[in-house]
Amino acid sequence: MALLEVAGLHAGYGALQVLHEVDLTVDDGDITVILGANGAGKTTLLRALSGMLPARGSVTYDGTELLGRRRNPARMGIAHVPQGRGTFGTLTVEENLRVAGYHRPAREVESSIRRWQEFFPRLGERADQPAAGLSGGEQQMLAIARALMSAPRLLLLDEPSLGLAPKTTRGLFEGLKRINDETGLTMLLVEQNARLTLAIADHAIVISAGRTGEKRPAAQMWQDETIQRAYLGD
Amino acid sequence: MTLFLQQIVDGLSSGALYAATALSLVLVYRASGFLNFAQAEMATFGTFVVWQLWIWGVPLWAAVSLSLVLSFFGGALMERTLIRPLTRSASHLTLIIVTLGVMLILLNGAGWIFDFGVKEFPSVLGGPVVELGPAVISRQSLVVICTVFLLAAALWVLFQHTRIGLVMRAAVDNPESADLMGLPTGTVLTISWGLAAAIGTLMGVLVAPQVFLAPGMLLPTLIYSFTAAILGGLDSPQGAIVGGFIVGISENLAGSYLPGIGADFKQAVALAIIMAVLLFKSEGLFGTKGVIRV
Amino acid sequence: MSMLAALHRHRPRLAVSRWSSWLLVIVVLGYLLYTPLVSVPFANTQKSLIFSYALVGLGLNLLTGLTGQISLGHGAFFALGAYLCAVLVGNEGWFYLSAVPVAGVVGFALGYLFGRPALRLQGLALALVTLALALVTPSVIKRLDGITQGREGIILDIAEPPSFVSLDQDQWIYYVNLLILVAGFVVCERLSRGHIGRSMIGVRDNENVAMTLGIRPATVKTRVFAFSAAMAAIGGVTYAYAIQFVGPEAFGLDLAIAFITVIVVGGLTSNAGAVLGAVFIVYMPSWTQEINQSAAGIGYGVALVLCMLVLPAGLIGLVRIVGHPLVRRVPFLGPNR
Ligand SMILES: Nc1ncnc2c1ncn2[C@@H]1O[C@H](COP(=O)(O)OP(=O)(O)OP(=O)(O)O)[C@@H](O)[C@H]1O
Ligand SMILES: [Mg+2]
Repeated sequence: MALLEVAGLHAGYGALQVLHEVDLTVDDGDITVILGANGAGKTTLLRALSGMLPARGSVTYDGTELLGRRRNPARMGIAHVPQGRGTFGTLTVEENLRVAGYHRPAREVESSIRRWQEFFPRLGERADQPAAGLSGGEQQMLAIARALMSAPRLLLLDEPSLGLAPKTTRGLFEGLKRINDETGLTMLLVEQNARLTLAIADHAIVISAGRTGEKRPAAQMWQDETIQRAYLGD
Repeated sequence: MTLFLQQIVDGLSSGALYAATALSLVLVYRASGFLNFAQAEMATFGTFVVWQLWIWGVPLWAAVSLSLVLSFFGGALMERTLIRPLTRSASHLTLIIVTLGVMLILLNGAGWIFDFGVKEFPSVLGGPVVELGPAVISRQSLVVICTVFLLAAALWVLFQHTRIGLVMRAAVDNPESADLMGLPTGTVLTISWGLAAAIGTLMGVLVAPQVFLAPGMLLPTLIYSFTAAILGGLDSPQGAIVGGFIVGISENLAGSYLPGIGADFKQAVALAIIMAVLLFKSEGLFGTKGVIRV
Repeated sequence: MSMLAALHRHRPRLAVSRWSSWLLVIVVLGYLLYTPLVSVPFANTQKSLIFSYALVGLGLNLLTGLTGQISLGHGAFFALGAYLCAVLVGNEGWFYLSAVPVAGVVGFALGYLFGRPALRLQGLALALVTLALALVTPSVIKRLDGITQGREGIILDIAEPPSFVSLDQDQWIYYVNLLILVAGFVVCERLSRGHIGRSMIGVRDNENVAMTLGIRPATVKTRVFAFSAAMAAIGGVTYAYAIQFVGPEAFGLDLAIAFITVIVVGGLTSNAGAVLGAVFIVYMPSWTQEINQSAAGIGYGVALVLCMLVLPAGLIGLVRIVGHPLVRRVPFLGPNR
């Protein structure tokens, strides 16, 4: 069953139209990846989904239409890890997590904090340090853990591999996969790094110049020659 | 020596007075990243409301409570109607001008309603002066000093140890992320403005017996309050207090010991402090680095 | 909301045909030259005062409107000019017009000295420093009582009309101030167009881009600040002519806010707006004083808030809203084809 269904989505910045007729579905419990080059409109797509950009078309989430509603998608269980992470540098690591649980009961928040600190041990070790002092990889973990603190049903991730060493990225992606296996959390991931993402994804969609292609099983995408040439560098 | 001690004690009294407005300035700065130039006049207006109720025979504590509530809503209303529509799009220039406009409206509004004459205002704690060794201090001043400390402590707890404070800090740190996470940034902003207004009124009530209630009663101290807030670091309640006391004490000492400074020239010292802090150490004594763009 | 958006829309200055702009200049100047002959002294003094505020407004318009740097402290330079005039002309007996170049030079120099460090600050920090300057001005004047006569102030009787004209003093001073304003206006018009104007706007809109174009923002900002300080000082001289008295309390926070009101209500970025703003702040109190003595202050405050919320282009914006359709429709009014 589709948790998220996007049909005929148009969005952009003022007069600049970036997304043209984007269609895609994300199935409940899946990791879906959207592959696209720089400037393809990946970030724009995620921003439109979480209501940060005005958009036309239709975005159905769990059976309700999101576009044209005033309600913040974050309050409906959609968590967004923005490109560049957007952590609160002046807050401590633990405060970053705590503030993300704002809408949940206090008891759940405390146990959630402990849970994600165990999952990402580095965040536990650095709990009382200001987030600005974390390394790039740690920042990304924090951004993801922070998104998870709101107990979302759908996690949007914008290029989590950006600026990370391949090894760090691999660890991070394994972590995402593990979360998906353990909790069944649905994820929509946009990436340029096809090799690593296709390894953990269930489905993949290509976006180029603001238009989406067909959704295909990740394993099948892996075989595709054009994809190999464009994203795997062979 | 006695004179010297007395100067220090007087410095503490006036320092508390400066810190009072500085605390409200800091609270608004914390929440919205700019200074409300109308803050002092809002406090004066709130104090006038207390005075009017008291004249009408309402007991002082009830009058103060009522005015605190009204001030809270006044501050919140100002944020919602005048500040909010501008914060996203506008520059500092616009916001400074709007708060200056509000200052003029309140100053002259108070003059219109209550006239510009000086009003007698009841002390919360009357009675003879308290002797501190050879120096003396009025009971009311002691109350002011204690209240300022309590308020600073309360604000510190608010910022560091409450959910609202956490959201406030997050919203200032990265407004876009805070919105993206669905944090109630707007509500928190409104609450901050309301609280700042209420704190202003409370302090206005406490200092009114000393400075004499009149429209613009806090204007002569405004420059010292700004100096205190900047010296302390603009986003730090402790800083506002320490800044207030430093300014109060040094202003008193300079006024009587440095030849050529005199009562009138003291304000120029404040200007020099503001300029020096902003140019060379813009985070002040206790502020966060980069707290103000210079 | 769409109404609001319409008010907020940026409108360029009116493009009118050459002869109609000359006609406008002739009509306005004709009115200005004629009217003191048939007005009571009070009305003339009021207009002389408008001219002095307009001079300050012109300088501030370059600084704030075009270069984007706020100053709440120009009351200090205005006071400087007024006191220079009072001391040199009133007490030392210099020729009264000599105060104009002296104030210009001293104002420029002190503006430069203050602006050099101050303009390393921006936005709120700059506003605070200049606000502090405005707040300390009265006490500095009182402190320097050996020169300024402190609280008492200095009563003047200067700028006598020369014997060969048969004008009263208020009329003569009106013409002197008008002449200085016209000269200042022409200078500011020239400065705000062409190369210098573009570099100011460049600094305002994006300092980094300006730098790549070979503009040095720090230099531009400091010079414009010094120039606007000189304009304010000259405005102060004309103020002393008009009022014939200087005293410390006239130069405090109220004046600082009045100056901001001049450029905001008139319309930032427009020289003509600065003059309209000066008209506003001088006449506003006389329109409202029958209601209450506080009404003028409230009027200023409401005007500031309203301008920021609904009419960022100020009075000149209103003129343009009405003017643009007019220029387009009425034949001969529009630019020659
Ligand atoms: N804030 C903005 N204002 C105007 N145009 C923008 C803005 N952000 C992005 N764009 C434009 O929209 C297009 C798509 O940008 P987008 O950020 O969605 O790309 P992306 O696929 O996320 O690229 P990358 O992999 O580099 O992050 C680009 O042409 C970009 O120039
Ligand atoms: Mg992107």
